[in-house]
Amino acid sequence: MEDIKKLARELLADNKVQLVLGFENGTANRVRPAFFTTPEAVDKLIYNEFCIQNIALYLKKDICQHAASLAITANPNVVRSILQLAAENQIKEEKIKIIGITHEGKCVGLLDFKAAEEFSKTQPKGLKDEDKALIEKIQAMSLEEKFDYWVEAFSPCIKCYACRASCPMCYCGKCNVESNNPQWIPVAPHKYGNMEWHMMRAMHLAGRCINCGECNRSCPVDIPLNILSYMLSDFVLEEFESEAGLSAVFTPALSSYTMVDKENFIK
Amino acid sequence: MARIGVFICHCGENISATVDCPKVSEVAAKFPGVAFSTDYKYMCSDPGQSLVVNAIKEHKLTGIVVSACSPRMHEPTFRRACAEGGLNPYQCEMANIREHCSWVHEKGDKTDQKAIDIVRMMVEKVKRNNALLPIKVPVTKTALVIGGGVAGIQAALDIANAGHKVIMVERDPSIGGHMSQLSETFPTLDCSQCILTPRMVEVAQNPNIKLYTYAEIESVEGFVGNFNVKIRKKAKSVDETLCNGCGMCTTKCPNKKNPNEFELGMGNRPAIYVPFPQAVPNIPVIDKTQCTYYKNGKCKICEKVCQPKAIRFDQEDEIIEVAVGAIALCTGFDIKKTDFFPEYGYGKYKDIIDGLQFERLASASGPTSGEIRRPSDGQVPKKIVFVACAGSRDPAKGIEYCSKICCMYTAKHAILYKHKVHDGQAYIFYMDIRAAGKNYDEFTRRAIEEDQAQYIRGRVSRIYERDGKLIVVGADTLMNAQTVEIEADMVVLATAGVANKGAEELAQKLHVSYDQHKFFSEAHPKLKPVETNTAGIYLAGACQSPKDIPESVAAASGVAGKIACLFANSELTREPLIAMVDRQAPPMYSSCTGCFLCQPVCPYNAIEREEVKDRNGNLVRELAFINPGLCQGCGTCVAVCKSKSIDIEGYTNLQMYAEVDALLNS
Ligand SMILES: Cc1cc2nc3c(=O)[nH]c(=O)nc-3n(C[C@H](O)[C@H](O)[C@H](O)COP(=O)(O)OP(=O)(O)OC[C@H]3O[C@@H](n4cnc5c(N)ncnc54)[C@H](O)[C@@H]3O)c2cc1C
Ligand code: SF4
Ligand code: SF4
Repeated sequence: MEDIKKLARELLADNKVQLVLGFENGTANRVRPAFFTTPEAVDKLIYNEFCIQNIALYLKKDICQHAASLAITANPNVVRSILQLAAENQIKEEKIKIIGITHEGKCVGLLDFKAAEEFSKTQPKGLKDEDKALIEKIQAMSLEEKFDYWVEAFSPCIKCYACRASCPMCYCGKCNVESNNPQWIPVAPHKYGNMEWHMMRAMHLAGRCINCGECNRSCPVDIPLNILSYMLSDFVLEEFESEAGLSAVFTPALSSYTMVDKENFIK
Repeated sequence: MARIGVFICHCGENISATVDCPKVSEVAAKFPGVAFSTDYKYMCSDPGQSLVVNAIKEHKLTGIVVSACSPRMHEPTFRRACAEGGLNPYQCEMANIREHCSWVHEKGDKTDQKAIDIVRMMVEKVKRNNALLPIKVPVTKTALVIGGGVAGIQAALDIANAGHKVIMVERDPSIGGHMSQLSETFPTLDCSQCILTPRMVEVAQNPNIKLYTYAEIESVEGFVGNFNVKIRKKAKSVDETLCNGCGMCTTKCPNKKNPNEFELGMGNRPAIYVPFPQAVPNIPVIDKTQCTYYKNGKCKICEKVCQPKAIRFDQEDEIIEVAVGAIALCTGFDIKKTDFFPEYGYGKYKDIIDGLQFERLASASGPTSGEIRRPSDGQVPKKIVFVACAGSRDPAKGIEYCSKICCMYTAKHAILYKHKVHDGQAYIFYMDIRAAGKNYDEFTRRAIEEDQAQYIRGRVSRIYERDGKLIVVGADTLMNAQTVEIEADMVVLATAGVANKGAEELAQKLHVSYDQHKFFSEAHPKLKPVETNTAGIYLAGACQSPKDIPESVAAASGVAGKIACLFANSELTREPLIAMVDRQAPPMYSSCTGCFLCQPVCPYNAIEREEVKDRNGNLVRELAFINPGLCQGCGTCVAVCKSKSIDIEGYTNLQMYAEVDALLNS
């Protein structure tokens, strides 16, 4: 943790960045994301096993957008998010300094995009055992069973949109779900309306999701959204040999066409 | 408030025999927003159109739905009527109750209901139509012709003679294409070179034509009327402005044993060469892969003997940028080589040749000076077998189509053979004799009746060598499929015509579509045979499918006509049914997030990046911008954009949603 702080302090002191995005202690033994703008403020910066929130989310918020340059304490999830955001033209390399932190919490110093790509390839995605078990269970289902499973799984959704709010890839200024002319997605949280909302979200993330699992963590009714995204990512990898979050120059599978694309999903 | 008019057409009996038109009209009259509804026998007739025009004026309509045939047929007609009535022409929608209803269903309530539903959908749509203005784009009145075969030559000359500039790009060192390799041409047996070379010279001399040989297309950007093309002019190692074509270099080059492409390997040429004596331009090129100097660093004999000092060993490829308004694709075809056929020895028998090689043998300027002599030992073959449909019409070989030219040139070959080898006998294995065309059947009859070609209907299953003879084993299907064995001295395979090398890459550079055989696709097989799907790019000749000379030339003149029409105005008017990216007041600017995931999906490269800057010139946002000249309104980007920031004018999300809604909630 000390080396992270030292780096952050230096960056601010040397005017290399205007802002450091990281964590600090919150109330009641919790950690919370924080923005540091002076070397002195960095005293409060922390990084420990509780700092799991994907703070790449804040890169698209006004405070970061308005900063001319910034640094971020970046665990593998954050690094993958940054690369994907860069691939989607949402952040420029000149503007961001990545303080790389491995999944074991070890600081690896500053990463440029090239180093970040290498870093990403070596870091595991951190799927929990219970996630793996659930994936296996769903994969064993027939098409109808799968459909029923998800309709059921989505039924408790209260449409609070916490999943959207916590997702670093959900950066659209105006989300479809808010459009009422036409009203693509019904507002009321009923079974099929929920299904429409989650299908839309899943499709918009297909081939772009970097599998940080934030959607699931933020969901107040515990819908395994991360599993849905994870299975889609797996499918995209298998069918199109394409994986999000590994490169800053990347065209997601749904935005590209190549002669070698398999078409065996057309049944 | 919307005041929509609905006009139900009977289309004679085409619609009314199945659909109860007065009933549909009655129901439609009660749809919310419909101010007027009627039915009529022929809405597209003069009185029908007047009915529409008058109704718009009389009932102060704000939009109309013409419920009739496919918009492909009469949409322009009714848009005009709509404009005549005083509305924007795009306030008109067609409800297709013919192709989509009366033609595909039986008479009955359900059919009537479907017609009603279709009308309801379009009423809901037209209520949300926007007034649109046609798009104007400027035109650069210069044409690019790619490929200098007979098709390209014809297109270039016609366009140039219409008074427009032409840039011709030919991949080989000379123009002429396959026709320059032919001996005589069917069905008149006039000498190919004699009729072609004057045209080639005309291309070189025409002040409106700029010719780049030994050149290829590097990239194409832009859109109809405004293409920007990069041409790669490969290094010839010769300064074209100095070379006077004396031919000293080619005579003195000591490195003479290189396979001659023009003679299809049946002869040699020096490392510095002009492909054939009548080449245009008559300027040699150095084949860098074979030249001794390029390989070993020593020689330079050509440089020494060249009087005007035109040899340039250090010459590099040159990239030339040109602006053109239209492009004619005339890159021709190729034929399968004998090594394609395992059953005929994979090309290992020297005396099994292809049709083009036979043309060279029969040609006075060819490797045997026009005598038919077989490649292995130079003997005159006394028994010769021609195999038509070699590879063609053979799904097992992946070529299910008919190559079209082979029946005719095989008959020609048999005639030429008889003219040259009086005591020889020609056998022709064929599947059908396809000789449709002016004087074509007469020509094949002549091969049979006057020149004693023996036609055997059946395929050749195998050819092998025995005692210096080629044993051709086939079946005669007109003789109970009896096995026929011919001991031949030489065999000519009329191999399948296939797409030219590099056709696919070129199509991708130009964004034109091609079929599974890599032949370029026309926009419509009947009504747009020389257009491609990309506006401003046309095609002629054998790059579309195997074609003979008359067809290639006719298509080329067709293309020239199309391009002359395009160049007749200095501005182009295009339909405004194109995609638009949402724009709003600051600070939102647009719902577009600038992810540009839409950019790679656009098949027409129409999506650009627009920078939004504040008053101080600082970059605020990058947004997608769709170039109205390029967009064809295909809608692919709409499907990709997650924030639904893109709408196709005339097919907006709102309109489509309203249609679906009208259908589901009826
Ligand atoms: C054996 C044989 C005998 C025939 N006999 C007859 C006959 O007797 N009568 C008859 O009417 N027809 C005959 N034909 C058909 C005739 O050859 C064709 O109809 C004619 O050559 C088609 O002309 P084209 O210009 O479309 O194509 P081509 O002649 O193939 O010319 C295409 C030109 O484009 C150039 N090119 C290709 N790719 C590129 C590129 N990427 N960039 C730039 N340039 C490019 C090529 O170098 C070539 O010069 C015969 C064909 C064969 C194979
Ligand atoms: S996909 Fe949509 S949001 Fe992304 S750049 Fe294109 S228009 Fe903008
Ligand atoms: S509608 Fe089609 S052609 Fe137009 S910009 Fe979108 S993808 Fe390109």
